[in-house]
Amino acid sequence: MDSILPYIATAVAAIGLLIVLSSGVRLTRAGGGVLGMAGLVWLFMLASTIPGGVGDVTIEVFFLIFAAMAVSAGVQMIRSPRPVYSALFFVLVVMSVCGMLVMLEAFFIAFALVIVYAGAILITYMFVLMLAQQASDASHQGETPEYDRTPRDPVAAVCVAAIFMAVVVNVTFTGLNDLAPAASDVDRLRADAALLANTPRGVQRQVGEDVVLPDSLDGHITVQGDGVVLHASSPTGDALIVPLKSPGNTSHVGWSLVARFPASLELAGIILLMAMFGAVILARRQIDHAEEELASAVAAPDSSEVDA
Amino acid sequence: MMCLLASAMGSVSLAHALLLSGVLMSIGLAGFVSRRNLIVMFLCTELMFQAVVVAMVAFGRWYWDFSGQVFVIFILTVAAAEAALALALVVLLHRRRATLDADAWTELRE
Repeated sequence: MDSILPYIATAVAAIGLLIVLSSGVRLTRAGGGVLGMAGLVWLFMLASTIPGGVGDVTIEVFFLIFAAMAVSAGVQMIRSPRPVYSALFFVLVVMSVCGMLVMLEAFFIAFALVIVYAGAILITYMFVLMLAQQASDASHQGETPEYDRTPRDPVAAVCVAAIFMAVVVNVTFTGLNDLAPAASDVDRLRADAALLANTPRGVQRQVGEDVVLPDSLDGHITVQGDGVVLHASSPTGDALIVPLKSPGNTSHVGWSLVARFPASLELAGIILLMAMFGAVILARRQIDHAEEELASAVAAPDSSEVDA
Repeated sequence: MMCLLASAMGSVSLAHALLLSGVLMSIGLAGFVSRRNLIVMFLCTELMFQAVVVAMVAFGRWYWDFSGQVFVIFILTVAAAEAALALALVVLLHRRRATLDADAWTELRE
């Protein structure tokens, strides 16, 4: 990298974050937020000289809007003295990230994140938060406890974050020029054709029963022009060329999951099962009298032995 | 400002996606170090997971390779398992001391 400007922009953003984290005055915090955002906008403008991109202008504008939402909600989340608000801001972060994933054409993952994160994991967090809050606030109602109001060592925290960010900036500004070129439209059509060749039943459903498929689809599905076509025959034996629709994001992810990573999929199931067992055992309420009974049961043979 | 940025580039730049991922990761890191509430600390780790998700999907989109999105599914699995175990631990600790303050457990490191 031939310029020090990206590092300066990172430092400006870090100073803004430090002001937001450590100040108790609302106006100062707002100023810090504006300073941090300005630093980030500068950094992104410097980064827009790096070549390479996907999609078109509308997509980029929406991506940046979602990015601004995610960053501001994230800062609010680590600043807010009330943990319940933190959890709600995290829901906003998840929603913004899902917006970005839609812009990056990862539709299945975007909706899975909304359902699993915002729907399930965050509800669990809220549940535990409210349970704990209710128990500890019984003495002083409505007052946020001291450990939530004052951050622990914000200077060190922001320094760690800024150093990490400087490493990311360095890699982004120097390493991306050596990257292999992005996939072209033809590459994407080829990926579609490869997936369709592996799923004969889906192809049959798409073209209807009037078309007789060959025994193996290998080599019969090719890229032609700006689409994928199937070379097959009609029941009377005439050669047919049928255009096929793209299988879509969910089919690609599903095929990748079961065809390329089947063992990891099984492993994920085992991890979930073990986590369930662990959570049940950890959160089980200890029963005191059970231990007393156990102790007496252990002691009983000794006494009978003494008696004998 | 945003339109100016976009017209300079014309498409979602991989650099922008990676920088955004880095920013989210840094915010999560800063929050993890500076907050003292156990549950908010775990929320910050979830924020770092989100950052990784953005980076994975951006690279996958660049190469049109779906392994990145499959990895996000595994990240989701690990995040769900972590949330279940971590929250069970927090409930356990909260039952002993009746506080969510991480500093209440400093003697563990001595």
